[in-house]
Amino acid sequence: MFLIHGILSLVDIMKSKRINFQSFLFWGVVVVAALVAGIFSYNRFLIKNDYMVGYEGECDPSFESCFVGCEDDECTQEYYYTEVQKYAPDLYKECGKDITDCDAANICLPEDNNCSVTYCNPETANEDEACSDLINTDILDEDSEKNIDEENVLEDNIINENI
Amino acid sequence: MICYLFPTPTYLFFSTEVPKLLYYSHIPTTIIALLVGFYLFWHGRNFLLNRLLFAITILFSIWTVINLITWTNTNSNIILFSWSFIGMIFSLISICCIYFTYVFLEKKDISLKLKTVFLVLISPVFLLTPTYLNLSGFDITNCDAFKFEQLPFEAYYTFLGALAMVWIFVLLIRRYKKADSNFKKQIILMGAGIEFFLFFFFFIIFLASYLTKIGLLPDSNLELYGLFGMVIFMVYISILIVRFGAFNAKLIATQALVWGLGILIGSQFFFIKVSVNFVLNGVTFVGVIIVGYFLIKSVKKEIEQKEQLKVLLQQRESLTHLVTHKVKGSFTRSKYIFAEILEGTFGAVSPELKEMAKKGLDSDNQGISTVDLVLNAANLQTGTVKYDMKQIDFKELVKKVSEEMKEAIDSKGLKYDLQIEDGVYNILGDEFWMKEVVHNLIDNALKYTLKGEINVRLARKENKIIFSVKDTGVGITEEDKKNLFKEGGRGKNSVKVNVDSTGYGLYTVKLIVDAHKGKIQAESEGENKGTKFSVELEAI
Repeated sequence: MFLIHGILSLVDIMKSKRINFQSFLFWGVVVVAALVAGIFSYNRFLIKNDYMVGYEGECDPSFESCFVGCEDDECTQEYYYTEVQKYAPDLYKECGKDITDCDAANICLPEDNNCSVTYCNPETANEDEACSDLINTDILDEDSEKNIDEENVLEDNIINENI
Repeated sequence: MICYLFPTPTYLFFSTEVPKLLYYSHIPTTIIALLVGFYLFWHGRNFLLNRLLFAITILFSIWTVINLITWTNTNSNIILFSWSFIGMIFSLISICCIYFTYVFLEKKDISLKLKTVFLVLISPVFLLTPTYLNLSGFDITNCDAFKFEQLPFEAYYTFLGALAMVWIFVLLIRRYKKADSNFKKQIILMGAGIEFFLFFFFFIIFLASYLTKIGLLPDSNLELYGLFGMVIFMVYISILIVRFGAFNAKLIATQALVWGLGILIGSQFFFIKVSVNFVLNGVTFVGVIIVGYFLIKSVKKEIEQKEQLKVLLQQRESLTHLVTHKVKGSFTRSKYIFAEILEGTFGAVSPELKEMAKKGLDSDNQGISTVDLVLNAANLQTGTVKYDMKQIDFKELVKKVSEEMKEAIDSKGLKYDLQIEDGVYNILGDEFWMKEVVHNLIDNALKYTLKGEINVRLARKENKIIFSVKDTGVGITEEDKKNLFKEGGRGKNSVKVNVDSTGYGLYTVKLIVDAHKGKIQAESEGENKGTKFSVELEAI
């Protein structure tokens, strides 16, 4: 009822020219600008999915330097992960809406437009970040910014940088 | 993308795994804001001020809905689309708050130049909202976009909030200096409300977001407290409506209290988990609504009756003025006839007729002073009298009135004693009305003293001037003391001594003394034991 009254009131005001031209212009510009911004936002996020997606990817501490996370507040159980960022349309194409149980979500593929998998580096890690003990120490020698083209990503699943 | 670690919400933002305070801080706050906004829009949609407040409450409500979505939804597309508007709504609220303050203070619309400044300030936000410079991505592990918010964009709209706070503060201070006392109170209330709102809304929410982003806080629960600023703002707005009738709306305190109580009790539904408490709260809520409804109805009825009474009193006042002016006119015409007879304008008259004419003249004079007394009291009571406050020598005034009244006192065979202590007796007051005070008090003593004496004293006690009139007259009973300074407050024996007693003399004196920020008191040991009236005034 309030809403209907509100709309009718606005119509009344417009009809009776109680809003002068200046006010009309000001509010008109604001409303139009907001609508245009809204349309572009809608197009970007809901149609094109034009954004990056960040998440924790799978990581095997036997071969990779993983970030260590806790399953609970007391940290009774640990898990290992990498920090993955992928372009949303690529991820949609590879995994659909849900990345759970999607192997492609954990690696960067050659056809990915924008992708990165970051491993834990004890030298650059933040204070609150813990790294797993690496069994295969050679991995740390690799350049973390290595281009994906130079790697055989599907063989060892260790990818450090994107295209 | 779906946040795989979080439960899917129902109806966009109803989820089970959320902070306890989430719905309590969002939903009741939004309801309060919308209630006030719609109420004011409903009652004054033609007023720009009401429309602006309505716009602020609508923008705030959109913000809370968007914020709820970002807290509870698990679809990254929906969250990011909603999240992208947060900066825009923040900025619009800032600009609307400045605009609202201008209109509240100046009672008119702002200039085109200022509107252009507002548009220029807000335009970067509109332009950047859908771009990577606002949000670049989404973290589906934590189901938020804190890591992907761009600091320059966030800092800009927060800067607009800070700018609004400072801008509004400067406007309030400038206008406060020029405002009258009534508007000063309104400025304080509105200013405090809007500044609290902006501080809570911008500073706390920015702080929560920033500390979460840099990892100092595990989550942004702190931002939930930022919403309570709106409640404070709405409470201040309600006070402005109830006390000052601001926003051209009528709201009685009972209505505001019942609504507030209803919302507070209703809000508890959002965090009660035990079903028994849910039922008990429901019963209390329904009880408050029913009792509140009848309470508001009865108070409204009482107010209507009071308003009717006020109209009747105004009509009575007009009638009193009309009658007294007519009566005074008749007395004056008759007085001049008697005076002309006494002066011999109509030729020589017999001594008997001369005696009758003299009595007639005295009676007319008495009648005119009675009418003047009633008229003065009515004018003083309604505040139509404008006092011409100047420095006056109260000692000279007392001496002058004493001289004027001495003849009448002597003719009644009373002893008159005037004692004035040495000193300066300057006061700030209206000479005409202060003379009325002195005259009425001495005249009162004269009328109610059949034998004995009248003592008039004037003394200084530090920065106070004490003027007293003591007589050996009929005195005042304890019962009469209660009505002494009230309208028409005659003593039960006063008419026996003074048939012309109107009950307006002392009432007039009290009104004048009060207007001069003085005090008046009466002392009497009882019937036939005399009376002492003392007036205390501020010396300058």
